[in-house]
Amino acid sequence: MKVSGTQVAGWAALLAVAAVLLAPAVPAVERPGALPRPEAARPQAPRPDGAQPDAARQMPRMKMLQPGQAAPDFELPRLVVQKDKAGNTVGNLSQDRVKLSSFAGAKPVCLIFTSYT
Amino acid sequence: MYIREAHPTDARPGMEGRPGNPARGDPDVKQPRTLDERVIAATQCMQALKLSLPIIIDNMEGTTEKAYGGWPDRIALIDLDGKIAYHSGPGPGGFRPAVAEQMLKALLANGGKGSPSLAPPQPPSPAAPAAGRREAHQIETSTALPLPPPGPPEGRARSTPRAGP
Repeated sequence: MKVSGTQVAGWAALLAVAAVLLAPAVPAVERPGALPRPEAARPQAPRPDGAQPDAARQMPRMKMLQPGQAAPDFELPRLVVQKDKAGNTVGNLSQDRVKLSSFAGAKPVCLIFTSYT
Repeated sequence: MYIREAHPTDARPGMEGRPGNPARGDPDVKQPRTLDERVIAATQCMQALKLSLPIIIDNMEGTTEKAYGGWPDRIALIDLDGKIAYHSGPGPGGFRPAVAEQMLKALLANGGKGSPSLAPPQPPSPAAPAAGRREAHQIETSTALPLPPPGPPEGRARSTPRAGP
């Protein structure tokens, strides 16, 4: 049977249309050695404690503030440690708050971010 | 600035660092879930480490911690104009008090005015070893300072010494 160029082109177009239409119905197959799919595309089971699985990765731990950039302002209470009547040490939050921008023009500030652990 | 714990005993995978182990000398502190619990942890910290510095308590949303990328620990210097003069790398590798001290002295010597070119005087030292000898976690990522000569990793004073491995 002799096949004309026009027929070949027609079949090719038909196959292309079929591939597009059928693609969503074909399950994705993980090929050995294939690159893993992006993390965001993988469904993740909800955690029993309600935490977001990727919360730690979303933390801006590597954030760098550039010299000369305006320091992010904050207004937070101080820790006030006192002894109660029984002699126990008790910590409380101060009524007044420390506002970083209030130090501008007065003195430089050293901020140390940390915790006990 | 007291922020959320880095190594609480109840650390959740992916949320904090490795769980603290009191048997090895780590503080026996769980991750505070309320501001009151954070105040208690900060008070324990202040007492155990005999801190005399003013301590500010971040809110439970970690607003300031996030704005500065402060977790697990970090140092920032703000100049007289309210601008960043120095922002250390993130801890533990980037948490280098000696570098921050040098930078603070330089800042004060400059009248409290920060500058991108502001740098502390370099201590006299033998020729610096090849960069490849530095541990990856010790690399200072500050944008303001040249690296000081490598030395033993700095650490914060602990209330109790760690037991051997």
